[in-house]
Order: sequence, then C-alpha cells, then structure tokens
Amino acid sequence: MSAPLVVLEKVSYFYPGAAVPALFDVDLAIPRGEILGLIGATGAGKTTLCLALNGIVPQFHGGRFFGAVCIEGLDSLEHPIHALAARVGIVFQDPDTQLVTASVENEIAFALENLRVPAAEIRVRVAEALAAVHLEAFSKKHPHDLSGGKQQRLAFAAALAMRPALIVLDEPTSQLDPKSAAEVFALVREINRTHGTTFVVTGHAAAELADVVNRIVVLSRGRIVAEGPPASVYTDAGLLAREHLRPPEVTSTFALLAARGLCPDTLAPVRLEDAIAAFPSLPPARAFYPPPVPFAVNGVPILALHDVTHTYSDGTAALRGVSIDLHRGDYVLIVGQNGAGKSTLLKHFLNLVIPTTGKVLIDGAPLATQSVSELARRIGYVPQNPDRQIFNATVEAEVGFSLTPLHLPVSERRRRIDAALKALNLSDFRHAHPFALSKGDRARVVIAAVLVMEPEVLIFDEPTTGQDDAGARAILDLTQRLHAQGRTIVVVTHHLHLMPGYARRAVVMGAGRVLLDAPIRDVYHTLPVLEQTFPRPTQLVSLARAAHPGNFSLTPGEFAASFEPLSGSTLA
Amino acid sequence: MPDRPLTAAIPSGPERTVIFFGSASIAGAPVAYAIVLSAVVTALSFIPFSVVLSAGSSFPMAQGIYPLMGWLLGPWAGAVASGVGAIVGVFLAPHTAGIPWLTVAGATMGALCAGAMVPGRRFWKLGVGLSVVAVLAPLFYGDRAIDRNGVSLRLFLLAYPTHFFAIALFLLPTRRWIGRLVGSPDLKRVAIGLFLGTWSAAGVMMMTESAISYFLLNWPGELFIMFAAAVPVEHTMRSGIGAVVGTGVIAGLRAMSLVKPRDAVY
Repeated sequence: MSAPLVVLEKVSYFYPGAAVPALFDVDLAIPRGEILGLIGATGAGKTTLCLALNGIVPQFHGGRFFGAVCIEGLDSLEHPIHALAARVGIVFQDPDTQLVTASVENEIAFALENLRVPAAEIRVRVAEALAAVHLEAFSKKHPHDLSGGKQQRLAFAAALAMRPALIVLDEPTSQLDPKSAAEVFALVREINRTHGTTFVVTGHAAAELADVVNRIVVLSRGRIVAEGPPASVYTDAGLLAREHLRPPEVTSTFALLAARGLCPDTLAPVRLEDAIAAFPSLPPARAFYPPPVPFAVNGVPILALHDVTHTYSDGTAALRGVSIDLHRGDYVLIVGQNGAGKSTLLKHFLNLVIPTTGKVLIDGAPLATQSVSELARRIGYVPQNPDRQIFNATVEAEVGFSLTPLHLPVSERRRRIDAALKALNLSDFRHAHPFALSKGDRARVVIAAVLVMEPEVLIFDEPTTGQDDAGARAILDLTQRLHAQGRTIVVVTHHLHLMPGYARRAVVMGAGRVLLDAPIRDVYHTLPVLEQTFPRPTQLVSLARAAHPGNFSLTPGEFAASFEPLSGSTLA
Repeated sequence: MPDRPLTAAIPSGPERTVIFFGSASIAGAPVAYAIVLSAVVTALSFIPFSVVLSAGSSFPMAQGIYPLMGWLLGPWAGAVASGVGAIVGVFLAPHTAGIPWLTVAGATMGALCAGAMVPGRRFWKLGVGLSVVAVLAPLFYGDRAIDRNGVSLRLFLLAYPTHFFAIALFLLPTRRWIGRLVGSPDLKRVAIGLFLGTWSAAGVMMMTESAISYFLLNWPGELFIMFAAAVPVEHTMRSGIGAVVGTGVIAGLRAMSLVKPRDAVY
C-alpha cells in the first residue's frame, strides 16, 4: 500500500494574537485518489485546515504552529508556498478573490508561468483545463465578466492546469446555482476518476457530499470529532445535532419515517437513489396537496415592475419584459440559475439601474423619482458578499453607521443597534472588528446593519451562503419574524431546500424572463419549468414525485405524513 | 462511531518555528503588500486636498498616508511602496504632482521618517541621518529667505510653527514614544500616535521639500504671510488623513491575522 499523499500529525495552530486554537491536535492521513469531505459548523476550522495543506497557514498568516503537515513527503514549514502550490491547488469559497488576470486563458496560464512551465506545455494545459470545465467558448473573456458559477469553474481550471496531486475546494458551490453546483461535483468525480486526483472538499452541501466523497471528517472548534463514510456520519443524528450540521434531506426523511414506525431504523439512506430503491420497504404513499396559503394583496403594490427590459451596454439582454407586483406582507422567493437576471431585477428595485423600457413603481409612483438615500430607508438590501459592504472598525460601528444621517436621539439609536445585534446573535461581538469574524458571522453583521434602518421591504441576496445549518435557520427564522411584523420579504437563493416553511410565493427566472410566479409548492413541483433553469429539484421533491405522482410534499414531515393512515383533511 | 473527547487546550505536537519562505519580499515585507499599498498611494494621488502655494499646485491626499507606509511595512519597504506609488501618481495624476521628482522624494522621505519611529534602538542610524536633514533643511531655507531675500525672521517663524513642532517631535525621544503609541493595542492610542506621527514625519518631509522648492523658485516674501494661515490648516488635514485612514487600516490588518512585515510597527 502506497504512503498517504497528505499526513497531518498533531497539528495545532493559533492565529496571531489568538488565545483559542483554530486547529487542535489534528491527526489525519489522506490517501492518494480519495475524495475527502470536510464538514463542520461555521468557524469550526475547515478553511484553516485547507490553508494548512499548502503552507499558507502558517507561512503567510504567521501565528503559532504545532505538529507537522507533510504533502508528498514535503514538510509544509520547510518548503516555500510556491513549491507546495505545485502539489496542492486551492479553490477558495469566493473565486473573485483569486482571479487576477484580464482573460480566462491568462488566468489559467498564470500559475503555470510562475512555475516556469515551458510555453508550449502551457498552451496544451490551458486547452485541457478549459475543456475539462467547459469554458472553451469563454477563453478570451475577462474573468470578472463571468457569472459566479463560471468564475468558480475558472478557478477550478486554474488549479487543475497545474496538475496537482491534491485539489482543495473550500465551499466550492456555496455561491452556485444547483445546475452549476452539480457540474462542479460531476467535475470532481470525473477528474478523480480520469486523473486520479485527490480532493478535499469542504461545505454544507450534504446531499452532494454524500453523493461524491469517500470519507467525511467532522471538525468542531478545530478538532476532529468524527470521521467515516458518509453513510456513517450522516446517520449519526446526535453528532449532527451537536455540531449544527444538516444531513441530506433523504436521510432526515427516513429518520422521521423510522421514528414514526413506518420503516426499520436500519434503513438510513444518504443518497437519493438509495432512498428511492428503499420505497418497497415502506407502506404505499398517498397523494398530498394542501391548498396554498393565499398571497397578501393589500391595495397598490409596494414595488412593481411593469414590462421591464434591461439591456447592458455590451448588448447583454438581462431582463426581457419582466412584470412583477410585490404587495405589503409578501414573502417572495426568487430563484433561477446564475445569469437568469435575478441581480438585475434587484438593482431595479433599488434604483441602481434604469430600465431600458418599462416602468418601476413604488407605491404606484415612479421609483426613479426617489433618491437612493430615500429608498434606502424604505428598502433594505442585504448583498450576497458581505465583505463589499463592511468598512467600520467594530461590529457596533458597522451596524450603527447607516443611522448617522438620521440624527436619531441617542436612546433610540442605542435601542435600534441593540435590537439588531440581539436579533442576529451578535451582542457578544459588538466590539470586535468585523474582519475578525468568520464569513458567516460577517454576513450577519451586514444583515444587522440593514435591519437597524427598520425598512418596510427587506431584500436578501443569498443570505444563507457560507452559513452552517444553525446559522442559515437563524437568518431565515429572522426573516419569518420580520414578515410576521408586517414587513415585505424578498429572498434570492439557490438553497431551495431551506425555503419551504418560509416563503409563500416563488418566482422562477430564466434567461431574463419570469418563467413562473406561483405558490412555492406549485413552483417546486412544476418540474418542466424548473428544468429550464435548474437540472434537478430538491431531494424531497424528487422523493415525493417518485413515491406518488400526486404527492406535492415539500418537507420531510409532510412526506412522512403521507405514508401514515388518513387522518387529516389536507390529504387528498 | 465513537466521538473523540475534547481535551484541554495544550497542543501535544511540538511547536515549530514559523518562517515565511516566499523569496519575494523587501526587507521582510512581502512584495505583495508593497504593491497593494503603492496602489493605494497612487489612487489617493488623484484626490486634490488643498491649494499648496509653495509647490504651485494642489497637494494630493496621498501625502497623508506616506508615513503610514513606514509604519505598515517598515522604513525600507515603506519607502519603496510610497515612492513607487508617488511615481505612478505623478504620471497618472499630474494635477497634484507639483514638482514631480520632489513629490517622489518627499513620499519616500515621509515613509522613512515614520519607519524610524520605533520603540527601542532599532533604526537609530536612520533616525540620526533623518534628524540631520530635519535640522539642516530649515537652516538652509531660513538662510536663503532671510539673508538673501530679505524675509523677516518673525515672518519666517510665523509661517512654519507646525513644521518646527514636527521637527522637534522627531528629534526628541517623542519619536520612539510615537512608535509605541502606533504599536499600542488600544486603537485610541494608535489614532493619537498616527496623528502625531504623521504630523512629525510629514512636517520633516514638507520642510525639506519646501527648502528645496525655495531654492528653485524663490517665491516672494509676501507669500509667507499666506503660509502662516494655510500651512497649519493643511498640516492638520494631512495628519487627520493619516490618523483616520491609518487607524482603520491597522484595525483591519490586526483583525485579519495576515502575516506582519518584519519591521512593521503596528
């Protein structure tokens, strides 16, 4: 048996000035050819461990380091990062941070040039990498003109071109639509199979990880607290609950079925195919379609787009005849693949772009007549990337910054800041620098900074990106509380599995058009429309459709109930 | 599957010496840092911040952060970052460049002065050298203005009280005290250190630049009356820029746990 590719021996690491270790006594061996999943709550140490695999921790960050990391026999503290980088490629969570050149092909060639690979060889490898990630048609484009999904694939290609023995993907799909995420995981499988490349993949995408990885390591406060095959880790309910982790939907569904005595405990699939194959062990499922909760329609829409088209200066048609009414008290989910026009739509709501044709109205009046500052008091916008919005030195200052021009009394200002910090569980961090927090916590800081304005409409662009299960639920529970207070909520997300129970209405966008605007249950189960913009529905929807053609379940609880004897009026 | 029990936070592995192996560094500061910070200097070179009579054009906002380069990167890498940023700024933003070569020299000197403001005896030779310049500059300038061009001593002194105070801060042990303030964990003390440090380093820089400019331009004596009003305002703005920008940058750098350049003071 060959030696492991990577060996970590008693690795502990403290960031400069930190009293608490980011990693503690980590022992781990990664054999060649393995696809290893690394999971854990926000701040568990996943990214730090990834960075330790090519020497960035501690060589770039400094701090105190204990133990040893060896990659192909090279000690990470005794070799420069560029030597380790030839063996370990890293793709970061936010690809924007690692794209540095002015064209796609130059981006892929950049690392190779730095490693002094001959020019002829670089050309071959660039072509190979482009083909592997299906970006051949974009080779001359500027990386920043690509969608998030394509940027992620480009970063992947740049790592791939170095032909490293190990590729580390740090939350590679957190910003991607389901289609792009599925492509990335398919690519991981393909490269692993064809090139024998070893992968370490971190993230919260339980269903995809269960499908792809050979082994899962669970980190908690820098320590490895469990490891094993996905079937073992994802069925350990106690462990997952303790670590605020979410199992694949099929696993939680079958756990619920077992708890209700509808299937044996031993039946605990972690993959969709295995779950569907287990149906013969279950009682027959019934149809399930509860009547939808009516939408809020309170007089004049608070926001409305009437037949809006928008064409960017480079000729890209981002919106094509979009009409949407948002009423006070709506909770709307907007979905669609990267490039579907969602961001452009949101920019129209915020008066950040002017429609090429059509009208944008607020309370029936043209929105263009309102200044951006006036709109900011009525419409709160939480952007996808929190780091682009943070610039104050403390969390408290960041949250309170937008109140400054309002000249509120000190007591009112204090009340609003305290309430926003408390709502986002940030009270303990009020004096911390925002960049001392994890990305998930920084996202909550930005939400608090918007919440403090007490706007009528709140627009969340991918609010659960980078959040563990508890963090994502906390944010969505907050949106629910705000909705209950009468606020209008708009959420744009790719994490469809999280939204049942929150959003009532869903708008599906594709190629700049509204493909469907209907109750969320109808949207999730209208597969032909979803397939125009996603390759597959949520696991639960797939399970429901496989169980009974009339079963429109959205949650594990609903699905489990449809196997029980008839007792509710909602069962068809 | 048994969970591993959590143990007390005493690492069982041997502690290792952490060394930055990257060869691309300037006096212990990663070249990447110098590049980023020189880009900041260039960007701020576009912003005119006041009418500087002595140089015949506006002064760039970047003047407020030349010293910051010295505290962030150390004197040598700071001087490189500041100088390179100023050179690029001279070409891209000529409306704030004044006398181009003097602008670049001043940017370099500002960072050197700040980098020499360190606790202890580090960079004492650099401090002595800059102190000599700081003393000679007003002497030559005054000699030329008073003895050759007939400017009154009283007017000359009235025009530059800020810079004389700045030079005094640099010559006295306050230089090392400012370095301690900038390195303080308390951000309020950091802000005070940055304000006084920028006041001192930019004062030495400006006095030297003004002396050289005067030898080149020999502006009329009446202008010294306007200096008496304008220079304190400008210098306060310069120091304010250094304190505001610097405190934010230092707070951010400390929070982000990036590797600290060897000679950085923060």
